[in-house]
Amino acid sequence: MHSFSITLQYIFTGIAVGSIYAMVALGFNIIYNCTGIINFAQGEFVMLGGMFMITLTTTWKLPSLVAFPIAVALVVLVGVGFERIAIHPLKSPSVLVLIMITIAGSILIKGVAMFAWGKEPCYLPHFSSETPINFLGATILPQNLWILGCLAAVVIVLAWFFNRTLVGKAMRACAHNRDAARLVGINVKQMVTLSFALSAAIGAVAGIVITPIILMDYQRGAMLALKGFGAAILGGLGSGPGAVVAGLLIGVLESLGAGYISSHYKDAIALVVLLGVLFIRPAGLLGSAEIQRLKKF
Amino acid sequence: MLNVEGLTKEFGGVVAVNDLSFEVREKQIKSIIGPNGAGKTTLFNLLTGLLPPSRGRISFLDTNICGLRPHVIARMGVSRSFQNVEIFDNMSILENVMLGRHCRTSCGAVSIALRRRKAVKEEALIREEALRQIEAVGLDADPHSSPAALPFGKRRLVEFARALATSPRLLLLDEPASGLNMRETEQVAQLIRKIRDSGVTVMLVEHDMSVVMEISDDVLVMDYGTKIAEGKPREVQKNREVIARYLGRSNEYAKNPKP
Amino acid sequence: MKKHVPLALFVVIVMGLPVLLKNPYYIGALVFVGIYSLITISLSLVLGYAGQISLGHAAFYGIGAYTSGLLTTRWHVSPWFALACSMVITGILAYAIGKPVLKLRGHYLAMATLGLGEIVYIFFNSAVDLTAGPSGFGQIPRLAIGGLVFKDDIRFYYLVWFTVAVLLALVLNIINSRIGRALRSIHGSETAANAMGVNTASYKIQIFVFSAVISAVAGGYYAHFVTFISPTTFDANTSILLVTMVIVGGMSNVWGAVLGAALLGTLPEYLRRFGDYDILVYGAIMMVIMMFAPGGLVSLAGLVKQKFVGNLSREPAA
Repeated sequence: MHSFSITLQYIFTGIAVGSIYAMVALGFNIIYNCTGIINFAQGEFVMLGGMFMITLTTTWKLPSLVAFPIAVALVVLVGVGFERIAIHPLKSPSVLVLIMITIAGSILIKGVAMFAWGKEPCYLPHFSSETPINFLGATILPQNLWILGCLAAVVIVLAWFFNRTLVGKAMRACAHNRDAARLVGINVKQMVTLSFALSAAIGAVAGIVITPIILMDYQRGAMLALKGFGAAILGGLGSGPGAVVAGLLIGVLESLGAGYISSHYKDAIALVVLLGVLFIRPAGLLGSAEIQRLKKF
Repeated sequence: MLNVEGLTKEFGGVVAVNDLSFEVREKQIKSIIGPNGAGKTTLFNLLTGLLPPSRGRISFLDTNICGLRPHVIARMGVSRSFQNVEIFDNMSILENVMLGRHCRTSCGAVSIALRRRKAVKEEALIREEALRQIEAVGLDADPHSSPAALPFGKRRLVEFARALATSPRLLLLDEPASGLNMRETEQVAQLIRKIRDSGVTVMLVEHDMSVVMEISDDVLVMDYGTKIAEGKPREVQKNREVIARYLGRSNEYAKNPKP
Repeated sequence: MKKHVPLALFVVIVMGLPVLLKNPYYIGALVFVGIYSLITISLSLVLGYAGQISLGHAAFYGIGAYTSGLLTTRWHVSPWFALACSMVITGILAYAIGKPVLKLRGHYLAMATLGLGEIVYIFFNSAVDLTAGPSGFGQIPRLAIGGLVFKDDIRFYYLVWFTVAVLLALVLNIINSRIGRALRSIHGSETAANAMGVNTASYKIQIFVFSAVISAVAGGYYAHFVTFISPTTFDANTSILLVTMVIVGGMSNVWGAVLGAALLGTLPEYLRRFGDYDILVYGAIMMVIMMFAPGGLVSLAGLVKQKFVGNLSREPAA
């Protein structure tokens, strides 16, 4: 293959994986904006999305179009349940308590998933044909287009939700100033629950579309979450557009790094980016107003 | 003992302290007054090294302390209290005050870990001095209890005792009377006088004019980061600009009754 | 003198346990509890006293184990010297890592340390030429003093718990001193600590490096006790387990750290019949403790503590 085509190939793969990171980062941001919490169980939402989809389509033999919304709904249920049981009852918890509770949540979800689906990676067929499409010497799997499409859909829906709907605006108000939001009559606690629901839904979508490519097992979520967090930080924690751009960027960097440097250290690349950004510019490459937020910790 | 020249602090485009110059003489009580947002707390943060100044010079006991880190400045003899009382609820009252001795003691980890005699002796001295300061500020609470449950006025006394335990030459008090009732305010005013009489120079930011006028030797009036007047309390009270801007019942004050 | 009662009691229990527990299998389990305790005691200084979150301590544990293991097997360095080298190397690495990392706070610090731990784990797996990769390597020699080789569980048990007791004695002295107060002041309010003359940045680094070095000792002990190491022992789950031990026991109390290590370190023995599903029990314990007793088990014993230990701590140093 021509070296240009190889590079292009890496970039295509990177964009697909990066879309997943972008969706995970969006999930982090939604909860963070509304509550100031970094949800360490975000990766488990992704894993659950894929797992539910596998069960619904292969065991229950539901058509994908039906299974998809059901899988998302089930993960939303888990997300809301987690928030209601473990986070809702807490009175002014410390950052450490919140971190440990979401980690405990992720461990529990992982445990249940291992119980339910076993330890082996599970397989989900591609949404459509598995025949790669040729493009300038590089090939694209149709599934990668599905991934990109899902990211686009998520972005459009979120943009519409936060800018056009009353509930979305109320959530933005919470992100801006929780006390003021409460004063104007917004039910902040409900908004927190809603943020977990929304975040779980996005995670589920990411998990469902990526599963045909990477397979899914019970402990796959952790690394996706760490890289998604890297994207959220790179884009400026709390920034939606930042998350998308940074997610794609990290995906491409990782893919190029794996191709040209070392596939062994593929996973380390995103982490080095994460650390680099944290050390040099914790507000993210694209964020600036977020410096204010940092002080909240 | 403290000389400030052309001190300026900018946050982005906002100038919080603007070309400020003044002097504090040994053993005086100097009050900084001015409406909210005048830059008073920022000034304290600059003097104690919590914020780096954008321009200007701060010299303390003839040493330039600009750009020095806060713990170094504290060791040189500048201590402070905070507007919202920042004491450590994860330690007992006594330990809070004992922490104040930190910069006046020097035993290292090794001699402490091995309980060398030097370390044991030093710890006993720290405890003694802390108990002395708790008594000096008139705090009547079990020194071994947690300060978390104390009423606000007493929490403030813990903070005073902690600041005094550092053996300061200059003590900065950020609104020492805010949140206190009249009786407590009077106690604090007495205490500040007593501190000054013991040889410590005091600078305070305060909104309670009765306290300021009663105990200050010198008053500096700030607005929008600049000095608009400086002098004896009486002189300042008579200053036209001060009256117009702040003290008197001018239109501006009536519109904005809570300076 | 009353101050020394808990420590003396602790030494008596540690000495006596092997006599009570005839089953050598339990002794082996207690060796691991001792190794964990070394880390959790030092980690509680970072987490509970100085208030700095580290989700990457398994990395230092691992670096200690790998350095000591590699030096002895590849270059035939004497085990004790290798252990000392691993302390120095881990200390230097921890300083280099801690310098930028400890400027971060809260969630950022947690994620950064988690990420660093993961990078070290990836390195153990990927640097196959050096570390033998995922399969690990064995035949690490045992520690010995003169002719006394720490070859069986019971000998190693005494070695490890002797080290724990020494560490405890040193740490207990430290926490009730100007340094202990300085650490706690960082947790309370870094700004105020600074203004009172505490060099917070320096103390944070020092305590971080100290705990990394102690973790390296634990790692070295692990390597010379098990005589085989592979990356999975030092993954993110271990980091989280260590933090959980500290929190479950009670993070602002070094005895809590030992208690947490003892409880969670022996848990796998009770949960053997659950097999791999012990992960569920871990998660549940962690969740319940965090929700209902964020101060840990030691704080639950608060009433008892106030009656006895509370009075003890009030006695001026005798």
